[in-house]
Amino acid sequence: MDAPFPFGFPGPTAFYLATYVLTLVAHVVFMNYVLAGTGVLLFRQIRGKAGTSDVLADLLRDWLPFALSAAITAGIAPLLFIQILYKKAFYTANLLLFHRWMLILPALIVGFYLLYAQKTAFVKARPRLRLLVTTGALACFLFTALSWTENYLLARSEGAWASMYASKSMIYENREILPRMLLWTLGALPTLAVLLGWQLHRRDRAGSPVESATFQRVARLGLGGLVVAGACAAGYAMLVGPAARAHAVGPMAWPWFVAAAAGVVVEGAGFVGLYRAQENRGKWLGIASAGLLFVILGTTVVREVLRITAVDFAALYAEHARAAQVSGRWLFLGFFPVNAVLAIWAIRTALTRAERPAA
Amino acid sequence: MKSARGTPYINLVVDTSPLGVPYYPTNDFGPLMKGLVIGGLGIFHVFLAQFAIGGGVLMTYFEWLSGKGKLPSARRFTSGYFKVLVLVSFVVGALTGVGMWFTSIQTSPRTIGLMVDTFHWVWATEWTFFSLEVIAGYCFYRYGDRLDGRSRLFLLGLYTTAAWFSLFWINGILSWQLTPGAWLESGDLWAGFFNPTFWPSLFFRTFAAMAIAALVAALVISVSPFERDEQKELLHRAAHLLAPMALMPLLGAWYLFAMPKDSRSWVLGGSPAMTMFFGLGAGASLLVGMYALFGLLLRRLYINSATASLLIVLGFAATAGGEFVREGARKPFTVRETLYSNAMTPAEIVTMRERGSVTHDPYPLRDAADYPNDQVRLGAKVYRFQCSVCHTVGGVNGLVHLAGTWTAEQTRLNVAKLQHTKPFMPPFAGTPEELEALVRFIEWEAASRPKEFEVTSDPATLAQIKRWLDEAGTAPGYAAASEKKR
Repeated sequence: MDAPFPFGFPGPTAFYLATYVLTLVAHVVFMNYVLAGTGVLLFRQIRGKAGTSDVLADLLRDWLPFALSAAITAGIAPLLFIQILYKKAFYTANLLLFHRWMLILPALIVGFYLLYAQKTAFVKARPRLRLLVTTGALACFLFTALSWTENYLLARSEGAWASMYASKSMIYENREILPRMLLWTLGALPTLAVLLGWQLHRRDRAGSPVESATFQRVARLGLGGLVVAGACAAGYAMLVGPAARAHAVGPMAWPWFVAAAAGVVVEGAGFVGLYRAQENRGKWLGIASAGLLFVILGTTVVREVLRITAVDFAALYAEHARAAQVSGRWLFLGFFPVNAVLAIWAIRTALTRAERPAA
Repeated sequence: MKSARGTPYINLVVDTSPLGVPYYPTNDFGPLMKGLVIGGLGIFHVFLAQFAIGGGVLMTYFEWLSGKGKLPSARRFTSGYFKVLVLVSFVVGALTGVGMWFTSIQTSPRTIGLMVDTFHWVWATEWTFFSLEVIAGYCFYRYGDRLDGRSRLFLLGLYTTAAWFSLFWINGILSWQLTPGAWLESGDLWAGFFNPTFWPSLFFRTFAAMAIAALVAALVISVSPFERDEQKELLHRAAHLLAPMALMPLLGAWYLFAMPKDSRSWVLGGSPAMTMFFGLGAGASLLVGMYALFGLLLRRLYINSATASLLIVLGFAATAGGEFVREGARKPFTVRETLYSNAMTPAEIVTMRERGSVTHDPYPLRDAADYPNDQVRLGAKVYRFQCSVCHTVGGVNGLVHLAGTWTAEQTRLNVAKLQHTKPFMPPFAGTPEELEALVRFIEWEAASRPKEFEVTSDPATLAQIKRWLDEAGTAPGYAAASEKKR
């Protein structure tokens, strides 16, 4: 395993790993919007003054339910491929966490409805209730994030399985859980900033002017997110120990680590440009988006490398090869672009044919 | 690597453990049978998913009527109906779909693992359709009111097509579990996908989806602020989607006759529970169909929100009956002739008869100290590994209720020849010592878990168990029954 990810693995393993990571990246983008967006919405509601309009809060309130739906839909594909890659470990972690794990479903349903409730006139008119509703939604999403973090760490710790089962505990205790969750949660802020920036830019270009201060606020959010997530990443690296640190910059992960680091710089430059810009904001958002892509892709691969090196991954090659023997790959590769084109067509139809709402 | 009937599919279900069997930590659901949990969620999810598909058909139909000027109130109705669909189906429907995976892992990780291994590309393809469904649906939800009729029809048509194809792919996977068809011989994906029950099941589900959508439409129409005449016209048009229900008896019969003979026999009287659920499904469908015919199509009756709600409940009961039958008819397998309901392959049972089923199970018993001796502890492990997926100890389908009054001799014989005792049970997969331990575990539980409990180790008893196990063989019970008839 001296080659950069995903090279150096047998063909089927490399193929499933690459497919998993790419689909996970799509999920992470929407997940970040939901997680960070709900947090930012709550923050703005706490800070906001009654009767004043808040473009960011309105935008988030409007789009968060869709973003959650997109996150769940995009999450199905990596959930499928993880079952091919790490079947036994993933299933075992699910089983050990039992009710705790299954609770993420009602939590997401409740969170989903609370996001919809945010949009109702009844909730909008009641500031305290509004706070309560947003807090509830954020709690649901943080619980889901916590559960996934636990699941990930438990799945790669085979030595803990039997004793955890015997103990009847449904909580996996590991000192990495909270710092890791903090890293992913704060790391969601720059993604949110980029997406919010694009939404505002589109609105601005569509004839609903957006104040420069709002763009600056978004740029500050992105830059702040990069700084605090970077600090968390440094702290987390100290926590995981030298072996994991070595793997994170080892032969398999280093190009991706470098890509992520470079992405942070590019993204930061994009946010600085956005902060200063009075026009051409699309250019700076494009730069920030390119950086973001590298950051998410790079960190997702490094995350995967840490899992690969924590388990007896070579023992799973045969299973991947067996799964690869079944046919149907071309069915997927054929329908994926067709349905992607149709989806773009649908979005284009909606965006270009819809009459503009009255101001 | 052993293979059953020399087929390649078995390659997908091996593990690196000494027996080639993956051991998973087994959770105890208390008095609840695991099947009830997955069944309950499954029925709920199927109902919502079918509502999403049928809802698309209904709205596309209404949008078309509106475009033709045949139903002026259709657009207003469609906007309101779509909000219900998004709030119910997009949220709870989507998440219970993910929930089905998670619950399946809780119930039988090996079964869902085999399904994923075999059909992951079909599932991935289904995901592309589901994504398209969500995207088209949201575009309509957000922008539909501001779009021209042609664009609305395009988005609704796209939504409906994607939703139906989602059903198309999933239907192939689910029907394969009961009737894998030629896949058993060739391992060919498409032979398994287009299996004997694929088409009747697909048509049946499509018509069921349309019926559910029409019933929900009746409720939405009856509580919406339409004029009475508008309501009547909308109800009449919505009822057109109930008309294909007339074909359901034929499709049901087609499905039944495409099933394996033994599975059909459970439904048609062999298993009272299954027959009862079959009757529930058929009866509820009949009632809905009759109301549709007289009330809505022939316009003899009006429908208010209470009646519409009642009809939806009947629709849910019909779905529940149908899904229970589909799940139950697979017994003693979760994937016909491949994985038994307790997630063992036929070939592994042969090995386990020699080497034991729990010898290599790495998971200790919880509360091991509560058991009086090692024999009962072994029995508890055998119960956990072989029985707990369908049975509880003292709750639903509890072993104590089923076997607690049998004599020891009777229990030994019945368990040793399990697939003959009840043909929907898998063969016992273990050594005579494990069987005797299971018998003692049941007796200990039936005796209210006394602190002291005798250990049995009579060589003659074990030899008798061995003889019974050999006589029973490892083939499923229905195979032996067919042999006997011949």
